[in-house]
Amino acid sequence: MVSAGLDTVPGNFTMGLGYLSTPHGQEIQQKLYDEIMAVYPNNAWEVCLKEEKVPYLTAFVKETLRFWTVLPICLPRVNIKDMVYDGATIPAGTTFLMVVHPASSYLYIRAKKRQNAYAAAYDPTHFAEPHKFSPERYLVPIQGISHFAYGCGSRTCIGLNLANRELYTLFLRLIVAFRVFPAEREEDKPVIDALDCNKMMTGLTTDPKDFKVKLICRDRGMLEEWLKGSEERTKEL
Amino acid sequence: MSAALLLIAAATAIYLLFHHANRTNSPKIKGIPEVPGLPLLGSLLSIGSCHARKALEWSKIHGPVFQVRLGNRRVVFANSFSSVTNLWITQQSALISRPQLYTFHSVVSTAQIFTIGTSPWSESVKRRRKAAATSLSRPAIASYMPIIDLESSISIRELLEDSDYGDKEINPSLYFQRFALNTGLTLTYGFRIKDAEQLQEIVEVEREISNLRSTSNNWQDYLPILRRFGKKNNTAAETSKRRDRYMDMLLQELKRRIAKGIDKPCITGNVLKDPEAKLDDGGATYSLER
Repeated sequence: MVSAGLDTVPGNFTMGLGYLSTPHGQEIQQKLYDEIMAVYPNNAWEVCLKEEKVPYLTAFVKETLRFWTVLPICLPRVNIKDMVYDGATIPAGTTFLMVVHPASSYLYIRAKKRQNAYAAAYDPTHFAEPHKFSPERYLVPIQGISHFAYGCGSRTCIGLNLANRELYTLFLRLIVAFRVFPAEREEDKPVIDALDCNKMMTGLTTDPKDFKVKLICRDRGMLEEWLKGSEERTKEL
Repeated sequence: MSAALLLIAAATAIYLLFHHANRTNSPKIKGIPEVPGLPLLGSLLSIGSCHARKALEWSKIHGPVFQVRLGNRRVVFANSFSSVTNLWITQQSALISRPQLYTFHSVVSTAQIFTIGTSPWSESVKRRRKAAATSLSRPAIASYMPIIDLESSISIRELLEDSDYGDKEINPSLYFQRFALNTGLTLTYGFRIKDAEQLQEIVEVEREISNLRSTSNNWQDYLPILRRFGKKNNTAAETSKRRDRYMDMLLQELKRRIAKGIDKPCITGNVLKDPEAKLDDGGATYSLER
């Protein structure tokens, strides 16, 4: 329980926030802010604890989960009964891995040219323009599973409801609190590519390479009030 | 005559050696393309440091589903949306167990029981998963929102202050690690940790453990002979000790609070107080991961 979500949830926050600092991220955060304000003109900070009614933010969270799928190779599985794939029988006791995203744009271009199959979350037959970060893809109904960030099937991540709530709530608060700008120096900016952003590529989960962002308070007085409200509500904890 | 015999004996020996060197824990699957590999090692060398990219290259040659020999373990890789959907979702009742990997399951996890997410399938896992699902259901999460209220405020307050109210550029990663860790701690033990050093120790150790669970960061998982001498073993054992230290500290602190009657409702507390709710044969070391 201690380590559940400890090396996965933060990776999504870090990379999602990093993306917001990029030029395309500027557009996205403006849209996120506008949509949040349209639904909750003045009480988003508190109401986000009770409900999730900003579809563009939900879409942003899903796209963050898909784009960086922080377990690029997932945890291995073993079958307890024989399975059949494409006419071949796979005997019980075989180890399986799903490859979620070989997300290099270079390989993507080559793959596209050769019309070959590739990893699940980046499969162009399922996701249009898989290498583009685009929350918009989740604004329309999607057939089948939306991403593999929590794995899928019988051993799906059991903490996904908690993780989704954590992501939605903290992202909403970050967006209403700050405007996110890029670091001045080129070398302090984030590596965005889902595989290259990882400190240790052989690791099980994505541990993002260090980068910096500039966080400018949107309205300091308002933020202080919100923070005090939260402190007041949770002083029993 | 004896020369011919010698030749036959040598050929047999080479054949047996070769056969043995290519043996895997599960048999070769007829009808699924196999990535060619070296004796003993299989494709451990060629998989390189970025497995996802290598798998992509292989899928261009062999198609979306292929088998790879990693040392003595045979692994089926699935790379496309439709193959993953077919194997993981359509056939989910068959694909329900986890392999036991030497490093994680025998070295790191000796003191702690295996976690729900990483255990091979069993009645006990089934029961524990069900119990955990209840405490992580949507209605349950709604009751945990005060924790997220608090932790997200603290993260934002710290980001604000540590960036000198926006004057200084800031690396956000640490704040999100603390957010996730303290949310998990409060849920499990009913208290959070303020001490930066202690937080850092847990974050570091859990990261190290995550690496020890990695698919091919740990050759000793695939080549049993490496287990006899391995620096990795020592690192794993050391990491395991460090983890035991704070897991024990957390449990003792909770017990102290229960004794004094100042504990807050939490998952481990429920287990300690109500033996019926006991999730494990391992007792209170209820631990939940993916």
